[in-house]
Amino acid sequence: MVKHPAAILLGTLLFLGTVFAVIRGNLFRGDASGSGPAPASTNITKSAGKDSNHPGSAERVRRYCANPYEVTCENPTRTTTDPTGRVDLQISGEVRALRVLRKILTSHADWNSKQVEDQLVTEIYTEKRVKRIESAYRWVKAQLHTVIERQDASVFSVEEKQAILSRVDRVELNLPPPASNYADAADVFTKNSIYYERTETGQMRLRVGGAYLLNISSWYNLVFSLAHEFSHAIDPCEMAADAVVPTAYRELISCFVRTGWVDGARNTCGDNEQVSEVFADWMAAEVVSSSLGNSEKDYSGEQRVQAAVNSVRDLCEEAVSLDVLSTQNHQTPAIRIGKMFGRNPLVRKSMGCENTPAGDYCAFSPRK
Amino acid sequence: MKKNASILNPQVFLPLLLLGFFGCSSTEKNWVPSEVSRDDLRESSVEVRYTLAQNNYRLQVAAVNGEVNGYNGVNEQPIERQKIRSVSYLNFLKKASSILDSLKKKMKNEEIKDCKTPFLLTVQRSGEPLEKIAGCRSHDSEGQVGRLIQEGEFLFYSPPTN
Repeated sequence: MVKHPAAILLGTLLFLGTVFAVIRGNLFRGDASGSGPAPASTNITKSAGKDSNHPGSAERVRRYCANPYEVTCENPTRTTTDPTGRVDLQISGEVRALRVLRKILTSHADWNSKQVEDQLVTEIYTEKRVKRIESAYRWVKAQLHTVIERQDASVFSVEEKQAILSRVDRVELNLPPPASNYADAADVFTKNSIYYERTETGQMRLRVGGAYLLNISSWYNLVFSLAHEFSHAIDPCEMAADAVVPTAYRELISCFVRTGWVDGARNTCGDNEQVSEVFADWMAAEVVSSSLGNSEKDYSGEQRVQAAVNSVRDLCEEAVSLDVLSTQNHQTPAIRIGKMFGRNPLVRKSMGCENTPAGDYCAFSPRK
Repeated sequence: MKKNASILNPQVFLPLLLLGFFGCSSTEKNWVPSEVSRDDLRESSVEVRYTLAQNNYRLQVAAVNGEVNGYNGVNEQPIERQKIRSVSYLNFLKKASSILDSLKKKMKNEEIKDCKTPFLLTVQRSGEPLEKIAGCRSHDSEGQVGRLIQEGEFLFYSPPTN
């Protein structure tokens, strides 16, 4: 048998390469099916979350009341579970979704991009997951109506209330299938984001990235995320697009500045503003707090803490600004979680915490 | 999947590429679009930065001295780093250049103001000035930016077809 040196060298390279590739391939093993975590029921029921009935429950509630940011963001790499589901690290959602894509591409090398997208949607946007998002969307929309409708005439005039509610009603939930629903955002199937946008034609819609469906099953997180994005449709800067900014918004923004939620130099719409993001965080806290309030009688103290933690757990990871793209202007996690969500009076009431000191929180107030 | 992953690995891919390069170079040359050339493999890059809600994404594919590497990350955390096939990259570079030209005609840089879905596309061709366009994906009704990002992700995971 002839053994040419070049053949031996090539064979050795191929062998070493295969061994190395198998070792590296381990990084991508695991659940590539796209099934991800099983979505929890949309009904809030008392179930056995893995953190429930924690022996230090009372101590954890006390710690949450004292420092919600610290409790929410401790052990940042850990998956956190509440009675309705879990919240994983942001990046794991992207990795999971891209695993699904990788599996499809390697199994069907001859498929065109439409076929790949259709399969990606089939595997990620399952009927069960889509129904759950739709249910949360309806719930959030109803809660936004409630928050606005309960304000009396001293806060919003009839016309202002109508303008706000009309915008709430115009926001569509835009989900696949079919995959063509995201024809103008074909990459979103693999993104761990829920986002609001207003198109050039004035259409307002919410979209949900596929990675989010694989990464997060907590009802509380879903509701907060949807409520935050939904609220952008009625934030002061978006309302300005319709040239209708309720007078009461001015007083609310003044309060945002007084509490330190908005930098005084960034309190007007336009470049570098913080108003719209803070408004969306504040409104989302209003919406979620009613859900947490409902859980008060069903959950243990530890479970209530976990529900509150998971509502905003993904905010712990502070996004790094991308220079020219830094138009979003979210506040720091310490302020978003510790001083806004964690000081919401209903959130605190549901935990049994002391009331929020007067002046530390904002609410709609009568027009001046 | 494991089998395909091993083929994508540089240690396996390199010898095959060498064989392919000497044995099939004329075939590969035909695949390279006329607008781009193998000169672009000396030093060029495509980068798309974009924001969705609170997440900032960056997809970058760059060629330096004939070697093409890709990076895909969110909030400055890498999701994937991968060597990319040069032929696939040149096609991607061509598409990115074409989309950038098309967007420049339709969008103005100031459109990212008040935009919830801003993006920045940068294309660097060998020996040419840096080209870039910032805009709002909500105004990209044809979805060109989304398609480019998707194709960029496909570069990372598609098995070799030649």
